Amino acid sequence: MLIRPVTEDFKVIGFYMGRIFLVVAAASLLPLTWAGLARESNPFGSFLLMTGVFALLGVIGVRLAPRESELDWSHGMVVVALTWLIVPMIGAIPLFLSGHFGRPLDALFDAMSGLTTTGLSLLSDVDHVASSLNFWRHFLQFLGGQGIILAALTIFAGTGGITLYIGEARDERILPSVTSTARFIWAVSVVHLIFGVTSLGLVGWQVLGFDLDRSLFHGLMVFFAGFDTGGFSPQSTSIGYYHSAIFETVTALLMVAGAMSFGLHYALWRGPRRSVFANLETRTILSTFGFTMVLTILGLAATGLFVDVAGLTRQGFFQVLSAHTGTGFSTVPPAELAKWGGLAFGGVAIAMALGGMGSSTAGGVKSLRIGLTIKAVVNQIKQVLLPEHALVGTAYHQSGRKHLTPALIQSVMVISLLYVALYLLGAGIGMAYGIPLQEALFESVSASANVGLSVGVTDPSMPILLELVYMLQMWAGRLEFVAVFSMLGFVYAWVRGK
Amino acid sequence: MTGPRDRKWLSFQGLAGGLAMFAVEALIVLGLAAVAWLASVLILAIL
Repeated sequence: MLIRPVTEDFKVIGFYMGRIFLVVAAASLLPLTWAGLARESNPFGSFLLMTGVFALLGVIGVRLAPRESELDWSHGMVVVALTWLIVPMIGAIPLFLSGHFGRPLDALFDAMSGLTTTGLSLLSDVDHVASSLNFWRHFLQFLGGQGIILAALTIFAGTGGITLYIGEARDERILPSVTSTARFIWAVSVVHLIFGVTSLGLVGWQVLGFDLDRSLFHGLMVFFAGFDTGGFSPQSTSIGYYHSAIFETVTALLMVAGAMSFGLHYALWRGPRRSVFANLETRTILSTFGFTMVLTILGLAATGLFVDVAGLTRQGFFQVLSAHTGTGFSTVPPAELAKWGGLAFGGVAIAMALGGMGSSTAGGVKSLRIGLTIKAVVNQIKQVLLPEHALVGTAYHQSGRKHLTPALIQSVMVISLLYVALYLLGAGIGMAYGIPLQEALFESVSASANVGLSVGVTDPSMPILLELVYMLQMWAGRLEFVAVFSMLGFVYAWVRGK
Repeated sequence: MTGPRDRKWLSFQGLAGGLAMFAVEALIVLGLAAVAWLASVLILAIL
């Protein structure tokens, strides 16, 4: 029998959401200050409104439950799912008021795409957007990539932190407490921020001949979108705008860093470093990187679009790396990407679907699940081929020696199948609108795996239903389903429970 | 683990660890670029 939630349940959820909104309100002061300093009066007004709404909701939420209440599993999951729905709604206010979007839903699409680090965009005239608004778009990706819940946990520890942490699709607690884990994640991010902005800024200033201000601005924006595997860009032609191999190399390093699990960052920083290459997830992602890259280059060579080694290497390498890490930067325009076709298209799409590492800022099925699935299949084959009483090893290395249990295999299979179903859902709806299978599937995988590469389906004139489905895919894909299903279960219990 | 040890990030050991992190990231990027280059050379030669 389903138990209908009572007022106390809503108060607990409201209280924790209120705390998170207060943290987001504090973060919103950054674009507000930027707009003030840049003397951009219209964005300043809209950022003020947005910050006010976040703060108001925060205060109302916190006042609902004056004393800290115990947060159980279902409450935590509902908090996470609702937060990831409401923050984009309020975050879309300055985007819509900028006048760069045809309808409010388009602004919400971009805010959801930003927060979930997808990178698909319906913004028109990216090249002439106010700097503070551009900052907000990219900062949304930073907030989403780091995790808004994680940001809140850094400040508010309290009970139930682990539930919120796991709800935000992170299953690896690097340090004993969630707060210290959150602080370590911020430390890694700040170190990469210093490295990324400095090196990209230097390339922009010294190699591309930009002004120092402009170099640092582009460095910061590309860092936000690269390290957090988001894929927004301050220019409509993405990374292709810079026409610089060295800029692409630094960006590639940031994308790889973003797709690495924070557990791996910890092992590299604090040791034991030898464990990094024994890690099942590291081995899997390096293998799938190589496989999809060779597949894409083979397909590209067959199309005849690139006839020299340098062009083929550069385009194949960058697009596959961007797809596999879930970033979505590109050095070719969507119309050209659509012409790739065949194997090259397949290689990039497979790379997107596989995704980065677990507990990273990347999306997709995740390499740990791929590695465990392959191991389970190999074990199954061994069991069939070996004598009846032979024992098949189930150990694997992932932050220490672990064992592949039937429960783990089941969980891996369920989540992987849900991703496949999500990929097919968007593809099916796209095809219903007359989009060819190849393109519909590509765009759907891109949205669900939070990548952001596009072949042109995502466009301000796209059907509203398809737009809504892509938003659902971004949301569910980012949260890896658990929080979403928990929220749906909570709503169902509220309606049908006793 | 979370107390005094965490505050060593700014020590020599912490700095060396940070550099090792960037070195491995650079190694992965260069390694993958080498795979892409080798694949391009071989595929263009065969086709």
